[in-house]
Amino acid sequence: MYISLLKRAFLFALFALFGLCATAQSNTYLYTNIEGYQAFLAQTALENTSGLNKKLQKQYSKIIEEKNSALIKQLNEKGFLFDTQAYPYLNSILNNILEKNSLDKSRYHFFIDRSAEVNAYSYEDGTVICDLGLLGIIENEDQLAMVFCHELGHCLLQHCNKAIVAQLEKLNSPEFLARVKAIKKQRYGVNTQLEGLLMADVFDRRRHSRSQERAADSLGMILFRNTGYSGKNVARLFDLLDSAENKTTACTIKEFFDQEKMDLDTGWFKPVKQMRFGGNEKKETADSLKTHPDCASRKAIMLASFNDNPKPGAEFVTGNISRLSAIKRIALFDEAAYSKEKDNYGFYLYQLIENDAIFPSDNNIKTAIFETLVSLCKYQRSHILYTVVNSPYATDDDKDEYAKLLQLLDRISLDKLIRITYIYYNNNKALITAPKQTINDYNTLNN
Amino acid sequence: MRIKLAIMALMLLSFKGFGQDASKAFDGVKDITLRNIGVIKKNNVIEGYFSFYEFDKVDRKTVLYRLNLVDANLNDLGAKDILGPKEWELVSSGFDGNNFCFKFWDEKTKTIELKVYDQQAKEISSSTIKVNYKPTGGDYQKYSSMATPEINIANNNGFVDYVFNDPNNAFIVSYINGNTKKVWQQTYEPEGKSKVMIPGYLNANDDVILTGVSRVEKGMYNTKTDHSILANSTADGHVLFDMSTEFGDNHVVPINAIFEKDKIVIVGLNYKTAKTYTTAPDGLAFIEVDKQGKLLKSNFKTFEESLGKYLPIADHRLQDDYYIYIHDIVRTKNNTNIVVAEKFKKGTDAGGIAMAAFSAFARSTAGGPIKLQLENMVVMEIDMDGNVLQAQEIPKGKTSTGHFPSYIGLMSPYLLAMAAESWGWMDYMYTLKNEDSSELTFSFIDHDKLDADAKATDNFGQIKYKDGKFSSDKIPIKNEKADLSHLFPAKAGYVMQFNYFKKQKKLTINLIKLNN
Repeated sequence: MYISLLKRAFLFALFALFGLCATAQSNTYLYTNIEGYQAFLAQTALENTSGLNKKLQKQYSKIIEEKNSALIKQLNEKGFLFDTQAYPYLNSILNNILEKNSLDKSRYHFFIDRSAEVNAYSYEDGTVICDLGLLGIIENEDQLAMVFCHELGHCLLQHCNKAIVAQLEKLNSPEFLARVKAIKKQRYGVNTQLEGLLMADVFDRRRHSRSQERAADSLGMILFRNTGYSGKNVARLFDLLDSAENKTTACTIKEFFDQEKMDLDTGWFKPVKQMRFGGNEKKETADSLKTHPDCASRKAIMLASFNDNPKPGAEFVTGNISRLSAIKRIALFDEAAYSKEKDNYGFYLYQLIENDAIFPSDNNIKTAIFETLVSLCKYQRSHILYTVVNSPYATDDDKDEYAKLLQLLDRISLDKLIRITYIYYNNNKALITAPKQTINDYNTLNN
Repeated sequence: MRIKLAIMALMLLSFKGFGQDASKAFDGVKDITLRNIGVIKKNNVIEGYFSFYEFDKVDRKTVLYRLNLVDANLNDLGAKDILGPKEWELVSSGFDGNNFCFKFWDEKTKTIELKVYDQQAKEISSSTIKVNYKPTGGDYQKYSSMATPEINIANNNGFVDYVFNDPNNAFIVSYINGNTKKVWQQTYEPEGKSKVMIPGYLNANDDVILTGVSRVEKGMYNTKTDHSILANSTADGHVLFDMSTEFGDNHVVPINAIFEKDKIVIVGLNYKTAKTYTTAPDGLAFIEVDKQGKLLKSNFKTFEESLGKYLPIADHRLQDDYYIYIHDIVRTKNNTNIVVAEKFKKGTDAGGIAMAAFSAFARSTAGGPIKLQLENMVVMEIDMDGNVLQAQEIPKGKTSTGHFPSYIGLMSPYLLAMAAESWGWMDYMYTLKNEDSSELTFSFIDHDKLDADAKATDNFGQIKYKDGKFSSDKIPIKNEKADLSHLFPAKAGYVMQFNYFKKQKKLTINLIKLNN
């Protein structure tokens, strides 16, 4: 409890420094240059298919078209963030890397995916994307710059494109087709052999993928060396990535209930005995299926590189710690808003509870928690809670507070949920500014 | 194949991530034919679900099956490939807290095989029984109508199953335990012939397995029954005791047994006649015996004495000629018993009479005019002395069973109710509980308006007993937008709904939480 309070106080102090200008962000999700981007995607696809034979060209184009449509759909459905703070800042970091490496800026696009996943990724066309969740673990601008350098490494080495072409060539090769034909001709064991063939292919691609990750790390470090960033702390990035799965929480669900003086039914948190059918994968199988080499080995290589040949520079080049803290705050709020837009109310409530612990007097968060509780009551009353809350899962991680919240929502009765909403409203009504409709819904529930 | 490969190529599209991830999922590569789907139970607790399908042909006689398991929240538990004969069915499954047991039926050889797997999906024990009994038609459905397909769990430690070799005079008790590797089969063949003999699992622990045995005496028009409790040693199956449950003029049909420190408490329905299949019970019986089956205490209280103050009852009947049919008796965490019952009465209708008259010329087994009118559910909480602590009628729309064949239409209402239950005509569905028995749920089908101004719909109803209180809730069986909906039992407080959307060719599986 004490540690948790300290942790909360620290987080609060960190964000309070930069977050006093509070909650109403002029976030926008509108990309103003969709036509231009579509033309860019079409042009890149054309260039990439020019060296292929007609059969492969057709298959390649089909795959790329599907991917492009998904990207445009995500753009149109507010899946990316184009605000006036985070987007320009992160874009300026990427642009700085491009400039320092004399790369043609018109060949690259940058987006911020609103997902809470701790990740960044890139496409064969030169689009580099950073998930909002990644911002949560980053300590300095140089670490972000290293991530972008890694993704640019993939783009420059044409990893995506080469992988697609190699796969299509393999699938269309006379040897592969003859093998499939021979298997299909057999009377017995057809599916087992086909599965074996596909499995071998997956292992092969994953192995290739891991070697490409190492290559992207290597080229990323070369690109990074051309920037003004210091190499001193970037290897720590891998520790942060490694610990991202065991995310520390600002507030446990129990602490939230205690803080709101809401009665806890011990049965809600009774751990579920995990049932299994099939042992853990053999280490060699699990390792073979990994797309990335493990963080420890990547960190060791990066550390060695920067120790042998130190890279002097600054931790911040285009921004500063306050600017980074401000966008980390935006990320927290926008990730949560995105969960709501995706109708993931269970995760949204979890994010709000965490944000409430960091910003304890924020009326927007209090209002959002109240509105979410009212919505959950309504969904449960209509027997469609499953549409907005994921299924609970058994976990060995006793720090997984999201799993605990899912378990609570799974076990709590409608009456108790309404009671909790009632207590929460009465505790926080001075700060809650819910619309009339929500108050009406709340009154209906209480009647 | 081509499509599948194209999907795989699509996976290569982005270099998803600077972070770490590992993929473990692997789909089947061809269309599959699902053989069986079912629940994994630990007696009345739903632990998960299985699906069993033919994955590949190995040779002329052997098939490679794939068994997939998910938990009660539909999270993947794992899969196992199993070699088996062509005509194989996975008929039921159980989980004893440590291991899984699967019951397979080989149609060709008429063999039942129990296989126990540990949580690493490794086969650790098995037991095979060749069934000599050949019902007309010969398939498993016919067979299972005689022998319950459910696997029973012996107190977190092993599985109990019953198999008929001679349904009139004998049955086999099978026990298999993955931890101790104990496997035994014991044939029970008491003296004297009977028309039919049915075993019913009561309870088991590490020492004893208790089975309720119901026999109908031989003779075409004889409806007299004998009931007894068979106790087998869990260690090796030898008979510890075999006691009749006839005590003077009290004939007890055992429903449930509870192990207490030095005794066994048996809860059952009590009849003042030996014709327990054709008359309504007079009340409940609470019998206490020691571990050798010696009677310690008995308590018989009629419904007129105990239930009368809640529901006026006389000569086995409620007001307006209604009877109550008792479906289940379950022990609560607080040492009381919950009885779930359904109100019914015998009825006729004009359509039925006309049809019966018409069909009388055609064949004697055609539908007659008689049917049962089914009404509210009734739940009662009863203490160990037979006193009713609370009783409630849970409203349910009036429905009717199908018309009974003319040759049994004139039989007693209670026998008709028994027949209706065995044919799945009653509205009660099943009883479930959670792991620590703090929640008991009783499910039923209802046809009624859920809102005053709505149309009547077929609904799924659930009565819950929690913290000493009964509550109920209902949902429509059919999802409004789906072309087809089907319900499946789920963990306590939930029901699983399968929906098929024809236009989108989409199948959804939802765990719906009831509001009680």
